[in-house]
Amino acid sequence: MTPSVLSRVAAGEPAAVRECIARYGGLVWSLARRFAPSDAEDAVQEIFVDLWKSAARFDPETAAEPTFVAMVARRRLIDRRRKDQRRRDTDPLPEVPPAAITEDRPELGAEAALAARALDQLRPEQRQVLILTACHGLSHEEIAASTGMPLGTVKAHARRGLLRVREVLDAGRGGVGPARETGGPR
Amino acid sequence: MSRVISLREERLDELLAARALVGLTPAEESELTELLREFAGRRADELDRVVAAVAIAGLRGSLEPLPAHLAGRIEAASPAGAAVDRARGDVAKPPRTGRVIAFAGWLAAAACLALAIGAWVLRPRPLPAVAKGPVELRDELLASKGVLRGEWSATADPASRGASGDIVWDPASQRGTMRFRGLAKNDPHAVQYQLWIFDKTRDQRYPIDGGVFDVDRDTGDVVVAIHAQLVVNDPGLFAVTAEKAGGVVVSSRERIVVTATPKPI
Repeated sequence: MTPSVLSRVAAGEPAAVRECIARYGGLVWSLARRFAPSDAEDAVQEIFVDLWKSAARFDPETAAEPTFVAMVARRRLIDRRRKDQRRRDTDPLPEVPPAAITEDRPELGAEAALAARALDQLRPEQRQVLILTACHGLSHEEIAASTGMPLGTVKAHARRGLLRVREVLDAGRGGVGPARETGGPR
Repeated sequence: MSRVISLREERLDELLAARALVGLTPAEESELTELLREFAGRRADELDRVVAAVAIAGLRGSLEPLPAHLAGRIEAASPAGAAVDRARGDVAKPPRTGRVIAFAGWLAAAACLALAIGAWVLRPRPLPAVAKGPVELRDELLASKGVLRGEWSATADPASRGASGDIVWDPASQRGTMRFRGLAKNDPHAVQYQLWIFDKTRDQRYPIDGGVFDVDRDTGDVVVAIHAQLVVNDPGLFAVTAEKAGGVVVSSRERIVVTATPKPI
């Protein structure tokens, strides 16, 4: 089995750093541009520093590599947003489309394609809430304010939507839910 | 009793979802810690992976390439030993000799990288913002049946002065292209063009986001693939606005640059 890029980064392989930037730079940059449009460049550099530090913790048994990268990126972006409470003056996207992500960026992986499929199965409101938070970094309060949905409803959509996507992801991984040790589908 | 437990677990799920999606307040963190003690086997980060996969899925069709200058900067600041060495502290440490070899490898690599950075910055980026071959896609669509086409109409916006071109859209495959001639070059760090598709079957206050794009040629001649964020059922109007870098979720429509009404070919 070919070692993952992150494993090779952790092992100190110089070419892996270049490969990692080439492979995931667009993903990290696109997330940063949505979460932190005014200082996306700083955010991206911080994220890659985090990535170098956490590369050794990547375990392909628990998450696909693109997913791991997105986890690291989002965690840093959330931290930055919480430190800097500036909010964007935006309204939400109403829903997300059914589309095959693998057609656009095969290196972003089957897990994301599964998630796309799962999103398409959600109620529009659930999908809307998940995309606006996961992708665009909007808070529940911001979504409630811009959609008119009660805050509790927004939170419920987020929770139910995520649990449903997890069911699909777990099923897609052969019933192994690596991050879930109790309950839910196997 | 079981109802009480169910509500507690529901609250746990809600906090886990909030943690993964938007982060928690200190009070919520405390509440989560308490609930995790109650529900052994549950983990604080168990939904992080799900949210990350959703984030990637949500970006489909709208990924932007990392700017070359930034890629070079990140690579130049990449680990020459210290950062990776610290990370290794979290896992089983290799034998000392292995660590020395790995460290020496990084030092040697740093020297090589310094030489390679110049070439790297000039290297073609492997991650285009749009699907490859929009020109070919346009040709393919124009040869297909049931395709819609519309000529761009310039507005009073200075960016569209002298601009022309067309939109080609295939309702069946939900693919399309925009061709521009003479559209003003934009500074992607300040302003980006964004396509909006007004679908007659949807609320007109919320046109479909067709993605952001740049005109990086002085001639303003570009062909761009469309990445609609939603299924377009019945497109009545395509409009391009100038927005802040990265685009917006809902446009204020202050700068409508060009519009096109699609019609069957």
